[in-house]
Amino acid sequence: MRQRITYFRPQDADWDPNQLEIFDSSVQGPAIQALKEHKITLTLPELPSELAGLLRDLEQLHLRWAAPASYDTLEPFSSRISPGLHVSYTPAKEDQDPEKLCTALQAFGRLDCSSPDVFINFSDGRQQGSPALFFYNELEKLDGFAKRLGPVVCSGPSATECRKQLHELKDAVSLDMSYDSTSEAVKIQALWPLQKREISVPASPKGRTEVGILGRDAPPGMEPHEIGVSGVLTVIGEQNEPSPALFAFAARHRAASGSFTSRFQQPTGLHPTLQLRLSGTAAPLDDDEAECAPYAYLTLPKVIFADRYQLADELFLASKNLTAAKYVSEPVDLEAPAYTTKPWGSNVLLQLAPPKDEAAAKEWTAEVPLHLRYLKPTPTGKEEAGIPYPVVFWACDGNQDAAYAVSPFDRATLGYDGLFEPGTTFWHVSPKPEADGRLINNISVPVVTEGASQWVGIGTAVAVVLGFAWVLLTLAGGYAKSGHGTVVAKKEGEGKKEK
Amino acid sequence: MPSSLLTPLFRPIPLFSLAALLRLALLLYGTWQDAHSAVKYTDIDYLVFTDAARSVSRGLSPYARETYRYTPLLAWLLVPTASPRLFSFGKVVFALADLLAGWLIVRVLRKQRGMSTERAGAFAAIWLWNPMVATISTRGSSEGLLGVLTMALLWAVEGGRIGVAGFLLGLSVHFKIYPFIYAPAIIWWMDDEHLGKRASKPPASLADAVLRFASPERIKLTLISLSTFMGLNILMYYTYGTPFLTHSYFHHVTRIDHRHNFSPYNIYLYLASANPSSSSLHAFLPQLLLSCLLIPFVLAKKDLATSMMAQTFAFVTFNKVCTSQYFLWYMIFLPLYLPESSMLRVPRRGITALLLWILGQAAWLQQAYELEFLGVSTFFPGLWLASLAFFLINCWILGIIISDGAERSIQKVHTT
Repeated sequence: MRQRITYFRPQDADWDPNQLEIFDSSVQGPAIQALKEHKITLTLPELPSELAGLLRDLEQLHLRWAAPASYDTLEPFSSRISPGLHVSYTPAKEDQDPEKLCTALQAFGRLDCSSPDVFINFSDGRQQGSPALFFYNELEKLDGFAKRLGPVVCSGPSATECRKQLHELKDAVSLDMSYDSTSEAVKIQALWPLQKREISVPASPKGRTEVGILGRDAPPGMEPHEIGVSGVLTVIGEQNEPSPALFAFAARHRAASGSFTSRFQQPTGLHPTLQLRLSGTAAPLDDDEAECAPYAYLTLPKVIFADRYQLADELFLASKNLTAAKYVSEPVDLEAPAYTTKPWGSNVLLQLAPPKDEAAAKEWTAEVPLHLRYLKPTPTGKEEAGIPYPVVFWACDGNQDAAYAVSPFDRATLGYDGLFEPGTTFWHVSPKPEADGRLINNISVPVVTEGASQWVGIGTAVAVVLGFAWVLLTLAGGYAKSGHGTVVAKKEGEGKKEK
Repeated sequence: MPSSLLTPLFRPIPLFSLAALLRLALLLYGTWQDAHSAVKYTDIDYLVFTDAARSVSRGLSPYARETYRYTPLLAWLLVPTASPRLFSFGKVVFALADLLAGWLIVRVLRKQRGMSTERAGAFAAIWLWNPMVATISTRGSSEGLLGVLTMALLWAVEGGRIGVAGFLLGLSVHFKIYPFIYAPAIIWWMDDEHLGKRASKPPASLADAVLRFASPERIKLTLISLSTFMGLNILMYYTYGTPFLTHSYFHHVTRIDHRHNFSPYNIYLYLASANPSSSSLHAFLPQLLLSCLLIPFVLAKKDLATSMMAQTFAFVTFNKVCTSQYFLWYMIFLPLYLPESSMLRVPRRGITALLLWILGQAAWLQQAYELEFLGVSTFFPGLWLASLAFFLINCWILGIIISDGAERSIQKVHTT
């Protein structure tokens, strides 16, 4: 087991490395403005046997969670996913039992993943090596997960410390757990947002614990596509003095200037429009550096969906400030109610069309036409649904050979990255929440009121019987008058009767 | 009846020229709107057809297009639309089908009802100049094709063209299923008297009656229509396999129809669909009893056209799903039903029926607008009551049509 804890400071913040106190079993320091990343690398034998057994059946597994609360971050921790739990995996064998994974996932809370049809095919249209199946579920907090995980992973003399660390997950804004069968390693990465925090890292009882206090810098010879970093590093128990560090690495995810908000245009009706309001129309890189275009990647729970056919008309797209629907996951039933729809929902990648006149529009809006599914009856005639904010970014052509993966802070397989060429850089536009500070768009879906059923059954029956009886009566009347045969004309005399 | 000022317009050349002009204008306007506005004139269904046609032109299955629930014949017919310059080809075909249906109406009225050219033209104008009909076909909905098929079916039957009638019946059932309701009416109608044969003595026994009922003409119609229907199905199944059966036929049995529409069963079906154990197949009972059995039994021999109108009206009114395009299915028969109807004889009745029919739809549409665009939960009671009211209005109108049909005596030209 290896652990790496990084405190990352904003560029302008003052900090004296000598304030860092390095003990044999911990590192302590004063409170500083920083975000914190905690990375743990484990091998399969270090895991509880049940968990290891589950992972051995898989080729790869990625669990990613993002908090619904808005948070501030810094490069190189700029990558974003929609709030909620994202699960993608590839089974090692065709006949892998999806039940097992779903049962394990219940550690996060009640997740509706028991049927294999809940997962959607993920590898279509993506880079080779992308996971095969994908599932998303909204997940508000990690509290329950931390509580349930405690008894499983924390044991022995360090159990208390272990539980304490797990408990800290309640403040995390992002959690990644990745496994792949080639390295047989499990990587866990948690991120705490930028805020004033004390430096306090206990040594891990089982392995190496590295601590870094870093910030942005510009080492000599740094390439434009790289991020430079400087600060101090230390390994608990191995070093008594922090060692200075200065290095640069290629970054897949960058921060773009500006921000965006997402909201539903009112009234929403059954065909709501999601408005993405972006500030800034300028690409993060100049034309001669790289080709860039803005995108939105939507994660849509099954209550709402985009119609791929509607998003095919150029004129229609242009009127919404959209360029194209580059990807819509399959299958998406265009008619079924939510309660008969098996897949968890769908993903959509939209290329946005910023206004040509950069000066005229500092702020611009792209509109995403969506459709609601029918939901089960409720007592109020309304059902509230929360749709996670999309991820909005500029994708820029990059160097295919850029070694993003060697970056100590790289993050890949986020869903949208696999839909672009390798080497693409993602410049993330930071999401600004609506009034409630959450990156969730709430929508009220009209449904039939539960109380209706007692009236509708009987009322419809009465109406149909009445209507049917009326028609029968007129038929009987007609039959009584003239039977079922041909009527002969009376007015025009008897002559017509003869054939 | 039509004022003398309009009479010259009902002559064939102005009648059809105006009908064609109306469609041409709508077609051009639609092309313009599609090219200049994000709100499209073209019906979404047309995009489904043309996507399927493109699919077929590449040698793929039309069912590769989601929500294509039609016979592959339609996709084949529209193959030219796969070329972008001929995108509107299908709309032209549907518009021409409207005109051909109008021509058949005039023909039936003149040759088989002995009506004057102008009078026949005036009634045909109800179809030919109907803005609803012209809009639906130029927006690219295929319902107009059903209009021409059913009118041709009536024309063939009344003209004694049994082979053609059998073929048309089989084809139209393959196309859209619902015309199967016409089969019992036509079979029932095809007695010696209607076929212009000398009426024979009353049958001596039940066996004799049955034997005589199974006349060569009836057997011929049954065989030809069945073999056309099955032949097409086998051809399509052979070409496109199970997806053909699933989308063209089984879909209509398994569909849950939870989304709001004019049907009286609509809200009931929505509620039922949320409760997986329930079944709603009994809703077919009143619908099929009326449209396949009782109405043709009482009306078909008296007036086949009115019987077909009433059957279609009953089928659409009692259907589990009902949208305004379905109204076209019975509107094609209006020019044949109206001339002798009490709706014209007693104008107040006709106007009341028309107003109530429009008002029922308007009330429903208002509730649906609040639901669909404003997100107000109008399912209950607004939308539900509106659909029941519209249903009862339709039942009342159906009663009038049936009463009219029961008193009807058709004077056929060849029997006098």
